[in-house]
Amino acid sequence: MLSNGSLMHWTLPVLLAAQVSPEDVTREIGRLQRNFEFLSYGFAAAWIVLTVYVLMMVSRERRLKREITGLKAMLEDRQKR
Amino acid sequence: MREKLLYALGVIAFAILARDIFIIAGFPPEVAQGNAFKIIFFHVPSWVAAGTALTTALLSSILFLVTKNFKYDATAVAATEVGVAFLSVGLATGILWARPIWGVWWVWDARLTSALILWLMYAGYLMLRHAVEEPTQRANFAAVFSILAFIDVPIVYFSIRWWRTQHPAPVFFSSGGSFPPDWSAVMGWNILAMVMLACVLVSVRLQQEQAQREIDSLRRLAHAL
Amino acid sequence: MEFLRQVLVILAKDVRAELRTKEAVNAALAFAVMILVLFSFVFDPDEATTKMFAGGLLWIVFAFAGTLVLNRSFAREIPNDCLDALVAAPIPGSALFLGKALANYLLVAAVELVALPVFGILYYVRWYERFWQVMLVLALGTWGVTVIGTMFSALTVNIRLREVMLPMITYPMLTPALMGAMQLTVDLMNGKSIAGDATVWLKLLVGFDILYTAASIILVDIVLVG
Repeated sequence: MLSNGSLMHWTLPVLLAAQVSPEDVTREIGRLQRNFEFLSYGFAAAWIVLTVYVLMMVSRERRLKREITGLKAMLEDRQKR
Repeated sequence: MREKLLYALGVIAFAILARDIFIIAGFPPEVAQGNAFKIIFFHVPSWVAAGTALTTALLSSILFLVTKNFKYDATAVAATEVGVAFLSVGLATGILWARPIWGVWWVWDARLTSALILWLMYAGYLMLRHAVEEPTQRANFAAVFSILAFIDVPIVYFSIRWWRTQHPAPVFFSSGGSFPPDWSAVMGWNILAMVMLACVLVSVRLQQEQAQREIDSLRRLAHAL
Repeated sequence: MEFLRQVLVILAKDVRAELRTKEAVNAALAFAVMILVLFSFVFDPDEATTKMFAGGLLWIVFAFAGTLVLNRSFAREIPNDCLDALVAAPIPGSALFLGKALANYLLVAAVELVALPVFGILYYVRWYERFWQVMLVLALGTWGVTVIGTMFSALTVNIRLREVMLPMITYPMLTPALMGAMQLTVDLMNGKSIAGDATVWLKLLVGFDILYTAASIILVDIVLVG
């Protein structure tokens, strides 16, 4: 029993190593690269969401400034009359 | 002066985030998850920023109800809106991480589902504000809603946790995680930058809210004349 | 004691007003039955798997139909400026709120109690096997729905798009209560008693109800008076 267990013990890594073919290695590399693709998607998504929000802020800032100058001009105009 | 300082802070935050992208890309892939794991460098900081913003929103809502000072109401809107923006970043990055690792875009897991419900609730807050015309009423209603919504956050979280959970436990701040120290440093920088960015955005939004009130008072003046 | 009397006056007034027209209750009931019919097109009611989650469907029906009743609760006071009169009346806002919430509770519960046998017949679910446990879940879940619904009914009464805003803000906040009620109802209708791990949902429901009742009573004056 004991010898059988130790046999298992040293054959297992060898068997596992024998199972790894070049295709497996390329597949594994492919998987990691695919993950890299998703990493870039993730970063892009974060930046896009933030940029869109900042752009929304900028456009609102412009609208507010325009409204303020318009209203001030109108008020001055009225006070002159 | 104050405005320039704000913009400078914003630029610094963006610069830190941009610099960290290159550092992160240079890190070796994580053992189990490969490169997709590194999405965490944007995912976690955006959650920290969203949490900070939404807690600020709760505190300013309470302060508004106590003091009736409209400054706090403006802070509450600004913080909630920025919070929703960062929640969106957190959700988007989470979804893009889940696709390669879990194999699906979305799973009905505790954190994901509670995050989505949180997003819906605070989007409801913004819509509610939009629908109320009268400023005092709007401020009161929004503050009440904000408090009720914040009470829900832990209940939602725990209820869905009992329901099911799949989200990985936080990997840092706890010992035994697979998080090297130099990665933690970069993570720290990213968290700092995101929170800084959130603060800048809240301040800018706050100024806009004040400008909006100025417009309203000018309008009233124009009517009076 | 005085407070209790004030609550009961508001409660009686609201129930009487509703029973005279029956507009909200009838609409809610018809709506509930309609949803049950529509669901049968999606999930084959004859299949055993449908019985597994039919209890969950029930709460979707209750939540949707309940909103119809809750929408009317404060909107009914808008004509003739009744709401202003109620707010100006010499009673605390919390009494007004509790009276209205209890009235809504009775009305929504009535709709549910009629819809439940209809559901049992249409979907062939033996909901009456654990009758009192089902009633307990129904009572707790419905209070969660009505307390938040009444609060938001007060919140949305004067604003634009009232009918749209109420469900928009109510359902996300209701999620934990609805989830707990759904879990328990599904278990009960599959012949399992509330025991072991399931009691956590019962605790959740009780906690949710207490927390939101307290928060609403504290905050309702701000909503009604300002």
